[in-house]
Amino acid sequence: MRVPDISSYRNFLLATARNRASAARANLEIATGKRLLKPSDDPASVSAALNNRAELAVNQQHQRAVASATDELTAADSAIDHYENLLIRAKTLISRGISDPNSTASREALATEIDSLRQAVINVANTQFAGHFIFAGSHSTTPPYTETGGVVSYDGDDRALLVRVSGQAVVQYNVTGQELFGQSPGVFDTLARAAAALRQADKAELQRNLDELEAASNIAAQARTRVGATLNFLSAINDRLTTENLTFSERASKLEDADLIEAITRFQQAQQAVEAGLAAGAKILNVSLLDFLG
Amino acid sequence: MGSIFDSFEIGRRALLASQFGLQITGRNIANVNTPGYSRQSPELVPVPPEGYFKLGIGGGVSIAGIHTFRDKFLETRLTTEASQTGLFQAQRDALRQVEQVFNDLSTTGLSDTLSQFFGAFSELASNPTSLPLRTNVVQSGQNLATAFRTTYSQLQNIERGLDAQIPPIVQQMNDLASEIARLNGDISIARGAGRDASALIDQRQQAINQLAELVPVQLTETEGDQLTVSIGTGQALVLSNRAIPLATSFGADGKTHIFIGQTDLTSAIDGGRLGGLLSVRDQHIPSLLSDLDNLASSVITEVNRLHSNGQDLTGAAGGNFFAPTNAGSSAAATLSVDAAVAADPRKIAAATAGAGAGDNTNAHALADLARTALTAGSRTGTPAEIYSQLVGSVGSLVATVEAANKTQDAIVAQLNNQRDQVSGVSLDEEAISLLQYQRAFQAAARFINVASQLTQTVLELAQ
Repeated sequence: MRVPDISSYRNFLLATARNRASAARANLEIATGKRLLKPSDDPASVSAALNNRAELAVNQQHQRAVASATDELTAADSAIDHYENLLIRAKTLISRGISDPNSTASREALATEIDSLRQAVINVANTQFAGHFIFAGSHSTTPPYTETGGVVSYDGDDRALLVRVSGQAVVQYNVTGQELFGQSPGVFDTLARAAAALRQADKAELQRNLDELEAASNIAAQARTRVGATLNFLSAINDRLTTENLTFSERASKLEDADLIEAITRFQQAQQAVEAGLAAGAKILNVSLLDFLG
Repeated sequence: MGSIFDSFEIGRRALLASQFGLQITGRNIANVNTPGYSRQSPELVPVPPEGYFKLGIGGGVSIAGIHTFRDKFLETRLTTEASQTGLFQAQRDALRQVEQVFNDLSTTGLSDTLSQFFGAFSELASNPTSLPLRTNVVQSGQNLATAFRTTYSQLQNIERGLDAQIPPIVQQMNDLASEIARLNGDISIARGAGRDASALIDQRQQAINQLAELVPVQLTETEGDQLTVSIGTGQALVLSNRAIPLATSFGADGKTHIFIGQTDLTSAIDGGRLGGLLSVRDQHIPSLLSDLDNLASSVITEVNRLHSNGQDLTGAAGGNFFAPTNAGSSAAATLSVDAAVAADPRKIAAATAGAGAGDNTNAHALADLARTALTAGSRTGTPAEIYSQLVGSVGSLVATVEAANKTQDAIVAQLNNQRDQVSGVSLDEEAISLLQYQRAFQAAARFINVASQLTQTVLELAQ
């Protein structure tokens, strides 16, 4: 076989360039720690990596939604706690009014406290958190409970505010006034009537009021149970989202990161090939018959 | 039997033949690195005996001509492969730029801004009356619009850059065509004068290969080693010693078109560097642009549909979130947040119609668009999925072209090696030839010396 000089040089150049290219590629992977540096490096993995990133972003978004819903519901929970304590105090006062209606002065004292309890309940019902009224349904920019002429009315609605906290789960992060305080006039009216009954020593009415407050307590307890259950659910969801975040990060690493051991091995192989090729080339290309003809 | 003086003639011819051989060897050595050079060797023949002498030994050696080692089949293959090489290289160079536009892995691109946009709605759903969160939605919408517009205009810039490469290439083609025509003429003259045209043919082959790298050529050999070069759908570029010039001009589509006479060749060129540029300019980039438009357009439609069903913070019915695309305009290139919403974030319709200002139903629905399968042209999936499909398809395209380039390099190297097996110069071989002709020259000189001594002897007889 004839081996023309130009072929030897061409083959030598081509092989050296090829070895150098794989060495450079391995070197780049080692230097950046990344296997995917541009879409053509592995198109299928690049699509998967981008989808994975989008899912991770959604997951992190869900975590923020969980945090936000948890804050809202925790605020509602503490307001409900306060409200329940107010109801207990009111029931105690009314019971005292029923069992021990001694002097007008002491009944007036009980009635005054009931009045202030009623104001406190109205305040609780208008609880604000992060700049909005949390018991107003969707009308959260204005106070839901307003008193005109001794009658408290509800200006909110019964709308549930939902937020997505995972791929499958949507939770309600608000408690509406109706859910917590029952239909208007409800507890506010009861307390007003109780104050009046105390002043008039109307035991039958007080007994009725006591029953009504008991019913209000039950409604509040139900609402609080739902809030508690949702908070538990959110906490569980948060744990899962955190685990999923790790999974997504691991998958991203698997898709995008270079396998360093493999890349270093590849680099060494390519480096050896370059060196061996150069050494052989230096010997072969340097020799000509002309050297030996005197 | 010839006369004793015939020996001098034999010796003279032998010296000439060896010298000729040495010159050709020298020429081969001189051209060891000349691309496209075909090695040569002298064609020597013995001189037949003259006259009627039965035992005639002839007049020694004579030079019949020069043999050029050339394989026409391989040359043709190399010409064809040059077009393929040009095509793949041009595509690779252009598509690598395109790929950079979609390199969302290393830079913040459309895929991140899409996530952030829908994420902003999700955040708003958690606190729909918050003005900072509303401003964040507007900002993310603007970022998304900017990302679409930037991606689109980057692609357009690449397209324009490719377009600008066309006139210089056409100029180069014209230069090469003129050179081929000139060489056709020179070859014809050399042939007519009975001179060796090998060097001219090598040069012409080089020019043809350079031309073929730019555009696929069809070659027809006519009488007297003349080559007719045609391109496109058979339009002659070189006819014997005449080149027909190509011209470029802007078409109605704002792109450079290539003309030969009145014929528009643009769509007929499907190979070579020129074909590579044209395919990326006219097929790959427009298809990506329309993919982007389809994605932008379906995002605009879906977001606006939901948004205009809702109700804003002031209780008014929602309008468009994104400014609707004007008829005839590109959705991606003109994407922007509706001016009214951008000016007043309270106009974001987070609530469903009829609900209070603090309702989040619509924001929730808009956030859920991130997980809703949309249709954008021929692709379906969530917006992020559609985009990642797009990136994947760009990646595969580039990977395919890169692989084609590697294969092509190997094919061309192999063909060149095959060609050089026939036509290339081996210095070892030439060293032997050198020695061979040198020794032959020395022997011929010696022969003349002997003949001279013989003559001397004969002359001495007469004394």
